[in-house]
Amino acid sequence: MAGPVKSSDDRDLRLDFFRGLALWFIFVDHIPANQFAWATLRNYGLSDATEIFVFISGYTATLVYSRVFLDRGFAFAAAKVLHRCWTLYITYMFLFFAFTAQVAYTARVFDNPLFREEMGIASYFEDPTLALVHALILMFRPANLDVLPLYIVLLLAFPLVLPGLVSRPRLVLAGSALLYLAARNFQWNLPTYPEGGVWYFNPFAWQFLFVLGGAVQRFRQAGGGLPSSRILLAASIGYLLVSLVLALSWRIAWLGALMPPVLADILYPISKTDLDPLRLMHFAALSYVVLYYVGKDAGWLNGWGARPIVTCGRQSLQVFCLGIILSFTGQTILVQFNDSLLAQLATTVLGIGAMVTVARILTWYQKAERQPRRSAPAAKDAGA
Amino acid sequence: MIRRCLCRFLVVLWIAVSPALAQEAPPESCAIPDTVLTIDAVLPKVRAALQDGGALTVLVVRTANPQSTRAAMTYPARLEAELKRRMPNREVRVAVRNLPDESAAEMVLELKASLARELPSLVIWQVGTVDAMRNLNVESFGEALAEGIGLVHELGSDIIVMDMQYSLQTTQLINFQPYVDYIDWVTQNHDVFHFPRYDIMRHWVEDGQVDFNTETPEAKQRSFTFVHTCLGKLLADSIMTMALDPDLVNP
Repeated sequence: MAGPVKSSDDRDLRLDFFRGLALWFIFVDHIPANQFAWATLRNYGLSDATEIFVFISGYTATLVYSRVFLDRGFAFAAAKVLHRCWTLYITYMFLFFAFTAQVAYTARVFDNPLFREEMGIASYFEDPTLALVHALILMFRPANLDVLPLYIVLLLAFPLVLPGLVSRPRLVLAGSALLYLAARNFQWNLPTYPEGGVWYFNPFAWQFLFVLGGAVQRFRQAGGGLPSSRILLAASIGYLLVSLVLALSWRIAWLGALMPPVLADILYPISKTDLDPLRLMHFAALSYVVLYYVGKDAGWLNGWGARPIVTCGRQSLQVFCLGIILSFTGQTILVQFNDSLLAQLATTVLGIGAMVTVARILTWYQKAERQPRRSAPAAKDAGA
Repeated sequence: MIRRCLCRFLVVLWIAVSPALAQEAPPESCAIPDTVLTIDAVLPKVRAALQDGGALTVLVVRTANPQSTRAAMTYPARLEAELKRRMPNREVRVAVRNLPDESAAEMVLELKASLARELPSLVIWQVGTVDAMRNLNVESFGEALAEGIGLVHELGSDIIVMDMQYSLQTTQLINFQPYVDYIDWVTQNHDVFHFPRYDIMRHWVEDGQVDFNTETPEAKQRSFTFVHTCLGKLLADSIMTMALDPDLVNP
């Protein structure tokens, strides 16, 4: 989600494309009533759009801020990261209030004794003052608003690792892996409100993917490329196929019945909260296979078909936030008015259309704003 | 999933092409397709109790805080009535332990205490709502679940695990799915029956049999009665199948 690089020549469109795709998936997946969610990644493997999003965010953050760090020094780079965090935080607060307004509308179902007797709305919004204070420190959040707080804390800690990433990426990566393992082993996580809860995306675990993205950026910067190995490719494809069967077995009853119970004992639970190694491996295999076949200069990335997705990926913060609001609105519409298949299709298409439109307007605006003042420093955070 | 999509699609199509038929008052059917409710476990203690000719005692442990005037309409009371109707010559007792706002881990302690006082043939453990509402760690939730099931088995009762209620509105605010998945997984590992209330209610919602959007007191009353009555009936059906079906005898 760091700003796009200005010199469009060396811009890797794959970053924009896959991040844009992840944003589309996150939007669709966040509408529980939408059956078109079957089309998204999470149904066909162990990892999902979140992994892509966090990894690419780590990559682009490093791309942008390492340049600032090398040009202007640590203090300025750190200040710039913190400024970005502030923007994200304000955005999150805006989302929270937009969300709360919609919640107030939806929560009336708790008036039904069927739900009230078992769930008690009182305990959910027992103390609005306390809930608001906890919202400010990211401890209280409604379902679906989990990714942004994760991103905020990751970025907040980013200045601590930035100098290390630039000079010794391997060392930082090793430290990050150690923290990942320790967090999984000792069950470190941040708390939520109401008391006793934990963050749905454990930042101590997910930081590894973010740092991994950063380290990969540094390796590429130093001239490293994707190791080209047939064995690695075959192993990755094999792993993806096994994951595919596994993921399908959760949805298709007869396939599930074929799975030996021993397998379940060994594999499960595949924790999303703590970023299970199986998920991590799935993401690694997926990226390897995709990057193997999709080169940096793949022509179709510049084609008309990819353009809407690339545009969304380029404006990822705004599009992400819009997607969250839209998915909640879409869900409310489906719940309150009409949940026919046609309405679901319309919600999906209109939502993605809105995301693309807004992304295009933002891109146009940024371009137009830059044009008359060519002499101005170009390293401003434009997009997300 | 794909099959379910197709089914839903056909249902939608059917409703779309036959508005006249759809306008007619739908039958108050509790029927649930096999894809949603599958009996995949047995209840040896219940079976033994029935063979001995003794009383069938059931304990429902749940996180509800019901209004006493409505108690007779809730699923434990409906379950008792349904079991008595199916076995008129037998003594059937369904006791309820209400533990509002308690997490799975907290409920385990209560389970222990309750079973120490009186050992029922069957425990129906309704769990998960509080854990999901409070975002409690799903893995700890799974551990508590496994512990509770182990405890009940160790003390010598059968157990059925019941998951959360479903509505589009509540799922918009609370992320239930990871907890439902965990219940599915842990019960499968322990060969215990998972009564899929979440998917059952979802089926009713998608099928248009219950409607939580209409906010008149009559509509609320209707959905309340429908859900509790049908849950009681489906629970009774499941228990009878697991206790009596000769094909399901444990090897």
